[in-house]
Amino acid sequence: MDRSRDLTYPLKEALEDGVDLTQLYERLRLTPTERIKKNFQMLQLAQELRKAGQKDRDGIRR
Amino acid sequence: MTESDVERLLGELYGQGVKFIIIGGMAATAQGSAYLTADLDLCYSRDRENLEKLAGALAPFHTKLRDTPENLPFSLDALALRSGLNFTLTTDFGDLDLFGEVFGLGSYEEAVRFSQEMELFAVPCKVLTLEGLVKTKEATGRPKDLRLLPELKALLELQKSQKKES
Repeated sequence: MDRSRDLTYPLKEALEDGVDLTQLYERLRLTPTERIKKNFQMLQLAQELRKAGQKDRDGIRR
Repeated sequence: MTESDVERLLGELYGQGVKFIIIGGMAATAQGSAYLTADLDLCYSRDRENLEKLAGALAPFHTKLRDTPENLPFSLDALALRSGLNFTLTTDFGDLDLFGEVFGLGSYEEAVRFSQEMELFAVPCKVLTLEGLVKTKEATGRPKDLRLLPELKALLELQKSQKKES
């Protein structure tokens, strides 16, 4: 369902620029502390993914 | 840097009565941004008393200047803070940037008008508002700052509509 017609101009512009509004809605339901905690959880996930990718690349080289 | 590092540092700064504002990526995160950041940027008041308190609060964290030779003698005391303005530091827990002036806003006394109090890890902290973040990003004009603007403006719009509803 296309909800973009219901959006105000800054939100439409953000959508066009690739902003994921669903992530913002989710973050705004959290307290500021919870938002920071989520940031570090996602950073840790990114780090794990990077390690896994590197392991994979090292495996391919061998 | 981990969340417990941030918690510990904020607790230390608050406990020592340091005047600071969280700016940059961590401020955007606190305001709802989905962009990830591992760095902590703070704007600090440069009054003499605050420089002493800031130096004292950071003492346990073995701060060093980033990207400098390992053997360069440096001690982040009140004199060092008074002699400089903005500092890019590395600490036991990661990178910390201190700003005596924020691009687009000015000194702490000017930037504080664009801050709001938020409770972070049960510590009352001044955090740059979304308006303040938009102002600084627009002022710096770097591609990495301009990239964040659509999201920050969207958050501002959502915040305004939430206020209207309540």
